[in-house]
Amino acid sequence: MTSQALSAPLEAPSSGQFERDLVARHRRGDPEAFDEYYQMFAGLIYNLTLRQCGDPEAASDLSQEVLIRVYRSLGRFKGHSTLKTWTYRVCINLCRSKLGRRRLVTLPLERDDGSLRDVPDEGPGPEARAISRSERDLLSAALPKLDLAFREAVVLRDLEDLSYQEIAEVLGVPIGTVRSRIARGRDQLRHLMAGEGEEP
Amino acid sequence: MNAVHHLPGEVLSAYIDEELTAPERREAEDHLGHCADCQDRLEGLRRVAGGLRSLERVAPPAMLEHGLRRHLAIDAKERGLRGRLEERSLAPRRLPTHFGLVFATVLAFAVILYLFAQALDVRQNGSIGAVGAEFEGARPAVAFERDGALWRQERVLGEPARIVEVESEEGRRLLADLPALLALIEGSEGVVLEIDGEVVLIRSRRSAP
Repeated sequence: MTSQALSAPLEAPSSGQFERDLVARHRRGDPEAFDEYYQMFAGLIYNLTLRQCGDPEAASDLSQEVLIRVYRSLGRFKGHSTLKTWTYRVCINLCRSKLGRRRLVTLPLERDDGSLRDVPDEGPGPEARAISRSERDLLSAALPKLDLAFREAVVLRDLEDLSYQEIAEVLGVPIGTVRSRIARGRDQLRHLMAGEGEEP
Repeated sequence: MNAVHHLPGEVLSAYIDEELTAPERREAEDHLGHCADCQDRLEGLRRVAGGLRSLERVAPPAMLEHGLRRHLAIDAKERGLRGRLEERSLAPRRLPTHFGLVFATVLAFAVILYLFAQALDVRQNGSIGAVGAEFEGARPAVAFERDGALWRQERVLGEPARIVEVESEEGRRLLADLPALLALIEGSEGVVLEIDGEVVLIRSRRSAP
């Protein structure tokens, strides 16, 4: 990888053509191709693994493994789906193999120095503004406790904003299954929040 | 007495996501118009979905790119070496003579014997975790598992130039690059590694002063 900052192209190519070019350049050994991939998808991969495992250090390790896997297999990407969908799939598969059998940890709300861990990206929408900070904290801590299949579906829907069709492609299951998993995941979260919100 | 029917959870959830068909949506709205229980459940699910959407995205830590860069550099080096070896093995050459065949057979037998002896030696050292403790003696050694194979290096000579505490930033980074070392460090004094020509002891918590 090189450490050069990337400048935005003057005219954005169509995503399909751009992705094909990127893959072809990576196949030819152009190191900047993977840099561009990193710039586009490292944030997505890190956030997805973080919400799957709930621990920043584990998420960093998992993200590194995902990126290494991508580096080795990007040249074989056939373009049957978008690069984004493929990336989600690689990430989900690795999380499944690594997290499937171990007990998950909860995500601490603050750093050791007391500063908030979240870096603002986009401002919350009107619905989100009505959610209190404590509710967000409860959700953040409850998410890693969800059953893995429900967590994947809920994270892809509510945090990654994928449609049911896109989630079905990533997970390789019918849309009806996606619908059911999202509903059951949200319902589990509702109960977890209600349980943890009560005073002992 | 009439049974009370409510909307299934997945209909309510898909209603929030606008993923119902037009007839499903009309039916759901008709029901919601007069069912307070379903309205409450819908509101609860909305709060969960809204709360999740309000969780802000986190920037990847700098150590992710650092660790990845390091790993890919090692990977490229290994691939280059493998490529050169493959090139050499594919290069045109004379057919081996009878003497050559005998020599090759003897050499292969010697290599197998050597590997067998190495494997025995590893076993005789007890658990893998004990290898790191060899630093206490005269001959430091390195052993770690990578890509499913046990690697052992015995020619790391001399005292370690540096001691890296396992809890330090550098120690964590090294372990992130070679997570298999964790198994070695646990239950031992530490592990000696040759890193870029420098002999380094990664010292475990147990042996810290």
